[in-house]
Amino acid sequence: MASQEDNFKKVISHAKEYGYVFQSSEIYDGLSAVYDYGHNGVELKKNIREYWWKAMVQLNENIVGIDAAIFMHPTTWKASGHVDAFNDPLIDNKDSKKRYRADVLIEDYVAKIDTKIEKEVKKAEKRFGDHFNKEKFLETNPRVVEYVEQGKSILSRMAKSLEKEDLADVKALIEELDIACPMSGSKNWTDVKQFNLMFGTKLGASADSAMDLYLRP
Amino acid sequence: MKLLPRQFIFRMREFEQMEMQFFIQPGTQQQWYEHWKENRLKWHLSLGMGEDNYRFHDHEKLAHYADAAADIEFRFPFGFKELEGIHSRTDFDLGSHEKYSGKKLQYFDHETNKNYVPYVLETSIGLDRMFLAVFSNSLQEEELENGTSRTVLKLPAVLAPTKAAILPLVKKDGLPEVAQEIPDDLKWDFNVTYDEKDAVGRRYRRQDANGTPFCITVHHQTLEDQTVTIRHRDSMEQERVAISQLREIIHKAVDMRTWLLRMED
Repeated sequence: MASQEDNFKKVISHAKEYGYVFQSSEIYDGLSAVYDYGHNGVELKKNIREYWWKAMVQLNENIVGIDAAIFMHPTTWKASGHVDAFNDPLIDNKDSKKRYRADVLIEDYVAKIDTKIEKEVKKAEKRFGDHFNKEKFLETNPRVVEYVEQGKSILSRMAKSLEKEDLADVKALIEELDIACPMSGSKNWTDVKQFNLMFGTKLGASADSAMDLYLRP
Repeated sequence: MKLLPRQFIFRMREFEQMEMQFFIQPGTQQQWYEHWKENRLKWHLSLGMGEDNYRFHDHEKLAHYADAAADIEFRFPFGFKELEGIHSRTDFDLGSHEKYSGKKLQYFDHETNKNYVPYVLETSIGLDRMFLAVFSNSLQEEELENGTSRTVLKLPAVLAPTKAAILPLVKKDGLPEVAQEIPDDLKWDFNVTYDEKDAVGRRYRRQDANGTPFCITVHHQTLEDQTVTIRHRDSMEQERVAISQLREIIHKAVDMRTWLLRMED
């Protein structure tokens, strides 16, 4: 069976071969994370958009359409919290040079614990057959109870640290859980840093009168 | 695979969002949150891409603006990932814009004779991400009975870029001329294409891989009785129909009404 990665590569090359999606600026070696839609891609995208639009706007008498400009008054983004809070806590692996969202690394760790719980439930289901009571099992089986507690306490600690902007503790949590880079297996991490994801530009004729703007996120 | 950047069109520098903001009376947000979670999942399921490929992910860690939030996750080639978000945003947005703008952003409720800042229930889906979900899920390698295999892009017919390809069986005997009349008529209703290059079997494969739901083939018999064969992409079954029926057959298969009505099931 083909691996996930092979399948994904097939998707990307098929999209290119059949005129759905191309890498942007390919003759200049591309621009990372930017893509262009070819003839078929434009049509597919348009049909998806229309399918969504009909379901939302046409089928609901209390929903109306709007297509807003990408530029908006800068105060909009102060009010919305984007300037201060549109950040992701990112962490780099020093060996693989890959960058991750720290919270996603931790959530994926907890997802693995959840898989263990599912396995225990399946085993027990087999063992007890028709007499199996899933809810009771989840509440009473010591191993499962421990897993559940473990997951909960990890997530609540992470939530608290992110809330307090205590990024050092987010990193400490990653280290305590012994989380490795999924690409390289390395545990050699940088500190966690907040990155603002807003896209800035200037609007105006001269440098003096230009206004600092953000593109709508 | 949760590398921050560079996951094809899953994570792009520039992307298109389809968002809905639903204004509601404070206190009713839980019920509307449930309503839109269910409604949006139904929309996804109406496309018939497999119930097992979707799941909800309820957020433990809530963003600063939300009192409840969930993702609809889809099974992408690299695993389950967020496709759409449903957020109960309370009066965070409007309340904050009132403060910064100094303008009242309130609704007068005639029943209670009171003003309030509406709560917002938001659904938000990335168009490019939805594109990747549809495209990757549709791309399949199929082993055929005769031992060969085919690559087929099983796009939901309602979304397929090209609805039908018209193919003269051979490039002689007047078949191309007759065949060409069919797209000249169907093009007023649908995106259709005409293809006379290569053997017909290869043209079928090409249209399969392109995601075209129907291939319409003009045979010698067409010259006598105005019938053609119509081949279905997914089943590869063929049936003989009159040229005059084509419009109705295609319409029935690709009409948004047919597909959206499945949300009512």
